[in-house]
Amino acid sequence: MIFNSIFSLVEKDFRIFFRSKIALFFVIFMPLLIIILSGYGFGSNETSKIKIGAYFQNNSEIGGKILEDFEKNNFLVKNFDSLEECIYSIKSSEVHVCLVFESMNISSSNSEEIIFYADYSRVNLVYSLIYLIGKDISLQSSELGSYLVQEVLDDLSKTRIFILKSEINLKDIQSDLVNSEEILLSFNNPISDLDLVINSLKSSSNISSVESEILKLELIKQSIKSNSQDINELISFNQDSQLKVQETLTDINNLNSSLKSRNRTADEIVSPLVFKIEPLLQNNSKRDFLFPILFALISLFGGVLLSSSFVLKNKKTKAYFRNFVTPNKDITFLLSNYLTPLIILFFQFGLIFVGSYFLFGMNFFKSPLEMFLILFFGWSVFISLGIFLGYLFKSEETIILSSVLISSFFMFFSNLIFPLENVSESLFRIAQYNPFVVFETMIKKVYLFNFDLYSLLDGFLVLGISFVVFFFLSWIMRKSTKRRL
Amino acid sequence: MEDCILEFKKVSKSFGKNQVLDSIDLSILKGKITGIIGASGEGKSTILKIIVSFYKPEKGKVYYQGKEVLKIQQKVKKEFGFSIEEGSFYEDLTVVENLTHFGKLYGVPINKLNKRVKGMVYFVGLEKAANILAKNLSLGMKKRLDLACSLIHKPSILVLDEPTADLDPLLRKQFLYLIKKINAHGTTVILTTQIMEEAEEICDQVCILYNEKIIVQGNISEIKKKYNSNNLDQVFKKVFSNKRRKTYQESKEKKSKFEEIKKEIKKEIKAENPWDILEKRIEKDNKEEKYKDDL
Repeated sequence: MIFNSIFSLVEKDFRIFFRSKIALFFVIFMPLLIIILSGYGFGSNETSKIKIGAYFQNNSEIGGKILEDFEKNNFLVKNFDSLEECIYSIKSSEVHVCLVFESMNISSSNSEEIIFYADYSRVNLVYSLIYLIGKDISLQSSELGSYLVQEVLDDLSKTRIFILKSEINLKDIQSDLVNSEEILLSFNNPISDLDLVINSLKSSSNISSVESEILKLELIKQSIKSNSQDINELISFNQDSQLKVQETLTDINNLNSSLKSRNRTADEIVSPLVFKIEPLLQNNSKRDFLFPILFALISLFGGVLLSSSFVLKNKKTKAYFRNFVTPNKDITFLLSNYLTPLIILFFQFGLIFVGSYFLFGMNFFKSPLEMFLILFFGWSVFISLGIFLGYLFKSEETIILSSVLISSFFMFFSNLIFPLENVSESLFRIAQYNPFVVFETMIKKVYLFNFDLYSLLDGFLVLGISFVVFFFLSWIMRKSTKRRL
Repeated sequence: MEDCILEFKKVSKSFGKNQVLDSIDLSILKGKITGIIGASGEGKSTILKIIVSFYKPEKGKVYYQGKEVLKIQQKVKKEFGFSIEEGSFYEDLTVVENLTHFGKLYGVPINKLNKRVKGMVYFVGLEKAANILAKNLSLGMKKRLDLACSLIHKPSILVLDEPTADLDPLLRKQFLYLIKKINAHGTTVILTTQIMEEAEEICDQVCILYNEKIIVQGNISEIKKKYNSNNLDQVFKKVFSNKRRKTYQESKEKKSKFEEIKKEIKKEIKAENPWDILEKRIEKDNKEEKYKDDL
């Protein structure tokens, strides 16, 4: 009997629901319309609507080049004469970001600086801009660095030529020294010849004259001998010098080959380690990252508002009293309150998934079981929360307002507006268990990164516990307020 | 002794500081039509809603077939049919859809439901309006739809809260005829009304509510005999005038006491200086106050 009653209550809700054509359109087709518009809107990486203001403190070729590149990339660039004007233009929404170029001169010894001024309230746009601009700034910075290093390399090249010339010179010196050594060695021959002459003289008859000559020759011989010792010293010294020159030449050779081995381009020297920002997934448009968030948002607001308004409608209907006097337990009514919005959400998202697949080729059911379970658990949490609010409050205004506020609360403490990492540590710990955050993260994990069921168990646990808690609270609230009209 | 199916014992109920029922005892006889009569705000609807546990009594208990209704709520809900003054059905469903829906909620077997719905539509005379949305029905048709919704599960006891309110005389007659027909099938009927003639016309027994209490209760002919009246209206007038007389007597006593005091003062004024009299009276009042405090 309980199932008959539940199905009858759900059937009745649908009959009433489908009788209002406008409500039907809004509930079923509006989310589809949102998805289609967002799908077409965010399917490209269009930058032409991003306006950049620029202010130069000094004339700057590099700054001008950066701006030229921005214009080439379809950014709208506007120059300002003063910093104040540039900043005011952000406040008046004339531009989205203001770039201030300080001392952009290569010859200047000052450090070069580009300052970003941006409206932090539009933080998502700012991040997007910084990402886009950052790539260009990085490119310009690399170009500047390359230019400077090229100069250094040119100098090094000149040095190498100079060393080569020096090597040739040194080689010449070495050969000269070898020649001089030979010449010096040739000095020993006349001395031997002189000894022969002296001996012949000794054998001659004119003794007195010969003796005197011999004496002279002896003297000469002594002198030559002493000179010969010096020459020997010189030769030895010369040999040492040759060795030293040889060593130097060897060093120069080594240095030369070392320089040869360091024959790299300027880019390689400027960026020895290349940093690149690469997306985790290639060829994905913004749509792929946007849709999981949109699904989570539609589920949150759809689930909470649909269920709370169904409870409200059932409480305010003339038939409420008759429902009360029928022999049905509270759980029967609660389950019907739960099933009706759940079926509507399934229908709604069925259309959305079909639309996404045929219009944008996005397949959200690559992992069907995981995706189905995530949606089921997520919707169950949001629907039971809505039922709880529906029974908690009495008037229509408070029910609608509380549903919107609680949903907004979930939304604000998620990654949607500010990264959760920006909030305080204690709040961050709590916000991690925010069902909206868990739900959104799980959809992303399955759709974008193909996580399996086992890796999602923690998320299912959080959603499961939240569902049980909210459903139990709804049951308590129904029991305690069912007589309160 | 006739078979008492439903019994109120010393039942009291209030909403905040507003007392609605004060220790009432009431017996409903099986197979009879019982009328609860009283002016607007006397607590007639409250009595009916206590029967189905929509309201819980603060004091006293209600018994159905000898068992406390709060302990056998599901049984009570199965065996009771209830129709409230403003009607209780879905405005956005048709007559047939409403009856089918409530038939399922009351646990009517699916194989019998269609036949039961058709029969009920015929019984209350809504054949031509069977597929019309309830919100588009006339007032009389709405009343009949509500009655049909209360009867779809064939209840043993039918509870009707002001069933003929806002109906024109012709529709009222038709409706009373329907109630009699239902009762003729053995269903016990409890109804509330503000109209004496109506109660007299249809009811076997009545109880009259006045100032949070039941002032008259019993078989209509016996009541008329007891108060030596031709109709219930006269009975009510007599009961009411007795009450008023009592109230008048009380106020008259208060008035004569006041006159005595007045005379005494006048006497004193003649005899003495008015300022002395005033002082004496203040002194006397002070003494009395002190005496009360001491007590």
